[in-house]
Amino acid sequence: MAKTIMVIDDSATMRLSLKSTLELNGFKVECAGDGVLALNQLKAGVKPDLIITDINMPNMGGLEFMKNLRALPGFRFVPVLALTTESKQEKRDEAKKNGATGWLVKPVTGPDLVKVIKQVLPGA
Amino acid sequence: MKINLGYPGKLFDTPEPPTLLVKKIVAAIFFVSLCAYLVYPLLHRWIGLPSRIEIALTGAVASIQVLVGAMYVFRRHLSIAFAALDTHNKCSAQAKCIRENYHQTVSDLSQYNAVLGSQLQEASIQTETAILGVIGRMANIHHQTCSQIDRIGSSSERSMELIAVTQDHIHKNQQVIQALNAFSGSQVEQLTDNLLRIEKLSEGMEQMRPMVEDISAIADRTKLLALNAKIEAARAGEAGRGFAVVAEEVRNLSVQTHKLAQDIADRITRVAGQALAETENARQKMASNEDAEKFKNMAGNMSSVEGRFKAAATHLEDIIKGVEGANRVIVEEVSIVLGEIQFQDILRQRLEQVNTGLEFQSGFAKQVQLWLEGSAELPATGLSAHLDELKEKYVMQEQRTTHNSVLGVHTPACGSNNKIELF
Repeated sequence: MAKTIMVIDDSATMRLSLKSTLELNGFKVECAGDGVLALNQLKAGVKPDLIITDINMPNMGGLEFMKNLRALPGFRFVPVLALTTESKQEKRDEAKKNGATGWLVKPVTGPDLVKVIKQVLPGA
Repeated sequence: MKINLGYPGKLFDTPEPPTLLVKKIVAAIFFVSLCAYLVYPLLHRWIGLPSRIEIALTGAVASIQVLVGAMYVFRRHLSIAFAALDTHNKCSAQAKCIRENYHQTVSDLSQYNAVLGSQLQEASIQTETAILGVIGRMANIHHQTCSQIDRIGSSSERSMELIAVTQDHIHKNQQVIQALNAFSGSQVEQLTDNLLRIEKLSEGMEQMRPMVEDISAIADRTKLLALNAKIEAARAGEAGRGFAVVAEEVRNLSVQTHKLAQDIADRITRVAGQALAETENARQKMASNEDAEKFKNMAGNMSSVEGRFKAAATHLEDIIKGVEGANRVIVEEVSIVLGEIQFQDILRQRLEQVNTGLEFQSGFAKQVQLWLEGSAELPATGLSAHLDELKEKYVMQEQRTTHNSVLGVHTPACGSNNKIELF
């Protein structure tokens, strides 16, 4: 059965780029435009096996989203990858503290992304 | 929209000292005094003015002379005073001009920045729309190529199966040919054996020929004996009549025997001749070995077909592998391009920062204008301070590098340089 990946990014380009890449590699993809919308989807019953989130977003950024996500029942151990243009080490450290599984700096090519996902999601 | 950012004329011209004017005034007063001195005796003689008027005129002339003298003595101070007055008037006009122009400039600048900001935003939206289209098409190409790879894979499997089946058939055909060749060989051996037997039979028949000749000779002698018996019977007369009949029958029998022997000899000759002819014919055919040659040719043709088929199959396999390899490269390239397209998000973020800067610039210029008009305080944050704020808001190391390179400042490293890091 195909694994489900949730992509959170305020950029439509990023959402479509990641969705296309992941779907072509056999994953099922759910998209959200910011942290608030993503949390709403998760509360509505979407159960992703992995979450890829941007850091700097309107309404709710990636770091705050991670905090809220870990507080949700059933999402404590879901792997979260931060995919961002952010280069500050403090943000990277904060993401790690908030439960991120990995940090990827944009742009990331399809093969690299799939390689990381396979490392994070065994059997994917 | 054309915006005039220039200012009319010089803003701070230093006025020339009005020494020429002073000189002109002094000269005029001197001329008036001289005229008064000349005209005064004439007036006194011709008109006979009363003494009060004369005193008044004298006083006036004396006052004018004192004034002229004072102006001459203080001409430098007067010159400076006139210059200051002139400068003041000019500065007031220029300040008015500056205020009016600055007001216009601020108004134009806001509009200018709004236009630039809008253009940047529009360009960003257009890029995004175009990129979304490109991603869609790329995804389609990726999908089509993957399907093609699957089809080629399936076709390759079928081709391999077909090649295997055909090679199996060729192998079986070769086995059949070999069997037929072996069968042909055994047939030749059997035929050789048969020929030998026929030859032996023929020889046997030839060996019968003397026996037939013996029978014929016996028949001839019997015939002669019957003739002698008949003669003896004739001699015996009536008593030998019965013997004569027997002798006649014996003669007839010998004649028939002779005929029969001759007939057998002819038949033996004919059959033996035919056997020899057929044997010879068979030997010649065996010597030519036509069937074996045909089988050999067939086997050779079959091997040649197999060789060509193998070559064609290998070539086809190479082509399929080449197409499959090229398609895999396309899939990988498309996958990489799908990632590279993320530059649009990076560009958007950088443009947003530029837009923020332009908006601040407009607000700053408005505040400065209000301050010049005296209706507001000087903006708390200057452009330099805002540049620092802008720098703090950067998220990409490239933004900081560009910023610092313009200001001639070294950009420190940003911690981990790993583009991908798993915690």
